[in-house]
Amino acid sequence: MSRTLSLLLFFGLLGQQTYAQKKVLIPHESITPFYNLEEWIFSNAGWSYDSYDLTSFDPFSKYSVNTLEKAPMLFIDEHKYHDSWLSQDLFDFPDITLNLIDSVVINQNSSFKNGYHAPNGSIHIYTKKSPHNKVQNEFGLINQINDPGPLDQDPDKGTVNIERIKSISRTNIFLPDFFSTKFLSTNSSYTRTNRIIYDREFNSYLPKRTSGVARNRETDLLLSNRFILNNFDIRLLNSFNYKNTYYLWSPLAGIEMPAEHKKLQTSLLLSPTKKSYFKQSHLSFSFATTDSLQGASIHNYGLDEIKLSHSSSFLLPINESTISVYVNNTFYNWSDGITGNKKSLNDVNLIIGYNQDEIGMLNLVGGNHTLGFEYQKKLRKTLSLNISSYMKNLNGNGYSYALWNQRLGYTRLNRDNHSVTNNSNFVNTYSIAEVSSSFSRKPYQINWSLFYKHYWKFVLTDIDYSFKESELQLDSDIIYTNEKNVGFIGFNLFTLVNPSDKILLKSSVSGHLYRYGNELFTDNTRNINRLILSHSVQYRADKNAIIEILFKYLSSKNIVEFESLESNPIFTTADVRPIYLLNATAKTWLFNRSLGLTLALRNLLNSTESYNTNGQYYNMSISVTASLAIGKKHE
Amino acid sequence: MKILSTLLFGFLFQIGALQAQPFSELEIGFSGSHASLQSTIYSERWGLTISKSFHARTPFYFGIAGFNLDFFTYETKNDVNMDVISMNVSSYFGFHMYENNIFRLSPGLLIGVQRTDSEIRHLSGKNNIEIELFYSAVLEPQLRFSKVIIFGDFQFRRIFNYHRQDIFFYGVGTRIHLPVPRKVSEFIK
Repeated sequence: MSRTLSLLLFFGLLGQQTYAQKKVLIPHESITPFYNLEEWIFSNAGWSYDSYDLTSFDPFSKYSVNTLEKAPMLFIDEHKYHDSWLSQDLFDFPDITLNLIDSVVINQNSSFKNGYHAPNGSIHIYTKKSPHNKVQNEFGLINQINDPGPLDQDPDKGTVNIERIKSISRTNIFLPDFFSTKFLSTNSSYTRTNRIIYDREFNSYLPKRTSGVARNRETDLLLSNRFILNNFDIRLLNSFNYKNTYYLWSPLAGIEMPAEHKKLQTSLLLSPTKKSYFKQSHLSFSFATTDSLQGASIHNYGLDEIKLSHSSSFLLPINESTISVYVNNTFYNWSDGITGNKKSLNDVNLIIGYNQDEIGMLNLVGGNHTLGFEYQKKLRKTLSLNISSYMKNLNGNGYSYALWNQRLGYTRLNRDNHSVTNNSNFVNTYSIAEVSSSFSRKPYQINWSLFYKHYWKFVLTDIDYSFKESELQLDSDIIYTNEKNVGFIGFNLFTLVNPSDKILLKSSVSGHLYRYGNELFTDNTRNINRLILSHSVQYRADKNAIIEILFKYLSSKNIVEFESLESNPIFTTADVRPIYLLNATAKTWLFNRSLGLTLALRNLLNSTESYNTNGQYYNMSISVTASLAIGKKHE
Repeated sequence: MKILSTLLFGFLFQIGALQAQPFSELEIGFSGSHASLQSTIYSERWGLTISKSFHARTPFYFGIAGFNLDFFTYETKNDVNMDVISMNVSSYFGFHMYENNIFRLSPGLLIGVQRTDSEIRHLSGKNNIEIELFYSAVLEPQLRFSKVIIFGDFQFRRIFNYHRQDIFFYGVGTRIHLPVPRKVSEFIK
């Protein structure tokens, strides 16, 4: 916790976030296991998210209703991490074990982070420091209900066996005396399960493809080092992500993207060790490549992406105020080995900030795709006001490149429509007003915020699917339209009560109070849960034995893209009923906390959900995890 | 599922009572129980053999913890289905609801997985191993004679296959009570 506070103080000194409301997630405050780090963060942030494969989690950050811009910016130990691929919504980052994480800070209402402009908020992952050499290994299995069991012998239920849904193995090594080395290796595999592979009557062309598709395998490697020289402090972060035989499932059962995906990223942070106007420079390079699986019947992938991002920060103290200057740019280059198409984009921004205690903080951003300002002021000791307004041209994100140039999996996408990348008319213009408050007095901690986002102009993405029975494929149409005067009012409330050393109660509720605009807009926002509520009770029988019960409620929503297919019986309905989740977890540590054992039952209240591919996320499952630390006891 | 949820919340109110120092004792033993399939879709195809179980119990920070290892076979009743061998591994959490010098009544929960194997899938070349989640609500009336414990084994088990399997077990078993040296229990802690 002390490290978290020191990091927050560090940010305060940078002059950026004095007024910003933050949510700090501390891993050891909760024992409930999650499929991966993404799920842990989004669930604890109270955000709406989807998962179709229990590997990728697709979030809608607090301010977003837009399918074009919804993912927050990610930083790992202050390095900006390239979490998207081809600027699509594949929000993807290393599955770092919670054993290695000191804290995760979610910036709720400030859009300027580490010299970058992050209009959808940002997530900062801070890894632990260890004064001693240490090796930790964690192994987990998650089994999901609904295997056919002995009835597999029933000719009506002939299907491949699915023996477990996920296995995870993570190793991390601390070598503090060798350039502060931290190394992480994560391997996970996942097996898909779904109603449609069991029922022969649904075994038409689309479901057939899912049988025999056994596993996604994913490997993450992460290496962090620090070099302190006379004048500079240099920090390096290297990561490698490999998705082997990877099937990314999108909302429709028929859309699969069988691919092999590799991404390498290297990042450098440079900061002076002595007092200086220059505060920090960040440079990050990544290369990602995606190819069709070997032996695939259609060679539909051959995409390479290069990203280079840079930011530099300068801080000028003038009397009791501070002027900050940030320059950042991100360069993208994509090439398509199949069509021969290439595209490059460069996003450049200059940010100038002014901070004075009595006046507040004002940031101005100007760039080739973004123009806007943000003003923050502390109204009282615990009450803050945040007002911002932006104009963002979406041709800077190139979101739809892959969709428009590739036949993804088994879906045909109409290429003859508008292209966001090439069209400068697609501009989101919006304003946000927010009041937020943080109150902390033992044993209570309360954070709340109320925000209003109005789009003066909004680029709406309307995806329309139709089933071509003759070719057993989906035809897809993406239409972008400019809407005017739409928006929503939202809120967040988080409470933590620690009435005794043995009991910890946490509650959070978040959602939208009101959405307004034309019918097309309100229809398309139905893919976000209007209300998300969670409550957890943790009982510490001993420092080595903890029980936790987590309850979660997700209000009903719609998978809007499904609606045009509802008339066809092989597709499922668009309505997703309200979901109630109950998790029960027990954790104990043995051998002087060298061995940690976790047993959890997930989703105790839920029966099988078969309305969509998202349903498997809500199936009940058992999760068993063992974590062994050598070198130093668990913290 | 409501039964399980209710029991879990019941435990929350019981776990505060430390029954003994964690890992200070160990009870190991075995039982034999009659197993009766309650789900027609299964019972019309298979009958179950006697379930042979190995048990271990120790005082934990909250109540009693331990594990069960059960073996029983699904014996086919027709020419279509084959025998299926099952191994069941589960964690036990329970507490002593009533206790005097000779008698103890202990409700508990078993949470685990069932591993099944059948010959037909060997023959067809399919993956023949299935692993599935189950839970059991357990009631153990116990008679204690010095270091020997005779107990009744009553379980209602739900196995979460695609078509849920409910099994009722009733039988008898014996466990031996072994004190664990303080150094060993401290080392485990």
